[in-house]
Amino acid sequence: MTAVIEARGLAKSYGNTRALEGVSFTVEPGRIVGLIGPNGAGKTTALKAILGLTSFDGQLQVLGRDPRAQRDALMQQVCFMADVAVLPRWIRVREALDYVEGVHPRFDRRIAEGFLAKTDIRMSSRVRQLSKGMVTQLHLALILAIDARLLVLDEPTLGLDLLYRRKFYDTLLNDYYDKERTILLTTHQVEEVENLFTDVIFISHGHVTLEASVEDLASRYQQLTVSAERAASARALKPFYEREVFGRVAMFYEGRSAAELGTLGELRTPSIADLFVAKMQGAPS
Amino acid sequence: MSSNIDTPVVAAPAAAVPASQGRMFGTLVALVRREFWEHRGLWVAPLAAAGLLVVFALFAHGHVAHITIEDEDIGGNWGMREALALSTYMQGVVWVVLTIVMAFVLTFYFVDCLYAERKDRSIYFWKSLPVSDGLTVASKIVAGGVVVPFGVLLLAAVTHIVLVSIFAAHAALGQLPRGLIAWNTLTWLRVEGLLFLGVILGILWNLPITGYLLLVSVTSRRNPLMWAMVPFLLALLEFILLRTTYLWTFIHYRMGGIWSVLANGGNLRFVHATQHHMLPLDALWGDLNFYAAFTNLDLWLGVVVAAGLVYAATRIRRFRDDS
Repeated sequence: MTAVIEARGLAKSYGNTRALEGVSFTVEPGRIVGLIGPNGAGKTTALKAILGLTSFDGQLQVLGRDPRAQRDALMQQVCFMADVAVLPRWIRVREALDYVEGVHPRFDRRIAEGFLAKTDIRMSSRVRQLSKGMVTQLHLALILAIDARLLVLDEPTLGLDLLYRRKFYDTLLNDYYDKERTILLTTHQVEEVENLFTDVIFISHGHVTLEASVEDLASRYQQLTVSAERAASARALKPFYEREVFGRVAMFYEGRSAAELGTLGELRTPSIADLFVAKMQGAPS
Repeated sequence: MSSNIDTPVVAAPAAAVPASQGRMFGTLVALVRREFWEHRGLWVAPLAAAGLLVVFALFAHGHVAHITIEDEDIGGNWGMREALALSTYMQGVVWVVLTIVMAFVLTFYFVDCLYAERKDRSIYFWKSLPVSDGLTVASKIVAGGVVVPFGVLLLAAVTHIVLVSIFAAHAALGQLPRGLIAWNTLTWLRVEGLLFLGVILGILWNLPITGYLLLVSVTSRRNPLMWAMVPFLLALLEFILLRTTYLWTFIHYRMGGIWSVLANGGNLRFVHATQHHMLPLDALWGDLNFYAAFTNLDLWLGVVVAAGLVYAATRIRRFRDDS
């Protein structure tokens, strides 16, 4: 199968600030990919490049097309929702459905109406009358109804309370995601969605620092928790990062076997959030 | 054409082209509707102005009756031609009033339409849908440059008919002199024809201003209306510093120059004739030089400049990155 996104040597500068420096990664179809990085790492710039919203250097193919040259055709297959991509405050719910139905050949109005019927959103309401959670629900209703192959989500649940966030991702997983569809997601709340991901891409200072499937992570990275007196022998096996937790030490290793580490303490696969912190804070590999 | 029936293989790709054109047209319709949802002033302001004219006609008959009955002319010289002339003047005045309202509304609209979407950050929502920047900008021009001017022409025609009906009813009730106003469908149509050509001429002549306002709208970081006024400020500056008025002359010409061409520099037989007796407005058909206006070089130069400005606005919307 051909990749959904194929980026090779993506580079972009804003004045003297280099947002992306030779970023390469591949997203395969049917995956849910977490694009994870600190603020200013280049996540949003990478997403903008994928969506053809910004110019860049390097090679980039999205669904086999160049987003710079074929943006309009591409957007029939790509959906995009971001914290910054707000619905206009003046539009009525019904008008939003009318509009998307009018411009999008792959929009199924019945799906959007079916989803909205389960919410408190009224067709005659204007967006400015809705709460932030409801606006997100409306946007989600529009996206669920579009038969797209790639969904790009940039901090989609920023500023929402836990209940809305949980509902948002449940709906996404149950009513939207299938093996034909690919989701690319950035979020600050990694802990909340990390069991959603099939793949992760870590990005930092404009570079990709890790690109792996979640299964690969389990075989590549180990987190060993040892007591203080065993710390020295654990340290001898060269962890790339360590952290003290309640008098015990958590050590992070790359490419060690369970046989080497298991005898020293408690061994497990690090969570994506912990691994991200470890990779960010640890010595550059 | 009959070969299509014999060879359906040939017919298939031929049918595919109108399908995609039909989709593009459907998209354009959705985009134009969107403009009237967002910028309600586009239809509310002309409707309100027309409504005010009707209200005045309903309640101002006392004054009209007073003036016209006192006027000595109405007794002896007020014939069918004068009654018809009065009707056509109303026809023209209603259109002019609504067009002045429209000019203000459209100026605000064009300045705002590509700025508001960046200000409220909805541009990323619009851009998340498969609509090209070219079609988006085109939809603004279709809404403000075609739908509104022709809509106002239609509204003016309806308003005029309502006004004539009100005056006729007043006359029938004896509140106005009998025979004050008359109706002739052919004359009415001839005046509407004049206005129709005038609307087309106005749209074409004002295209560079439309393009300039769109460019201001797409580039301004804040306060686009102020940037739209920059040419006036520069003209004022020129006058203060150099005591010359070249820029002002140019602006003045670009705003209304074509009407002078249309009216042969104001030298109209119609104007001379009305000093002696009232003529229905459709007499202007013999006076106005539409040929000279529509073949005017500056008119088409303006259209070319407008195309460049609109193209620039489209490219800027496509690649602008406000991060």
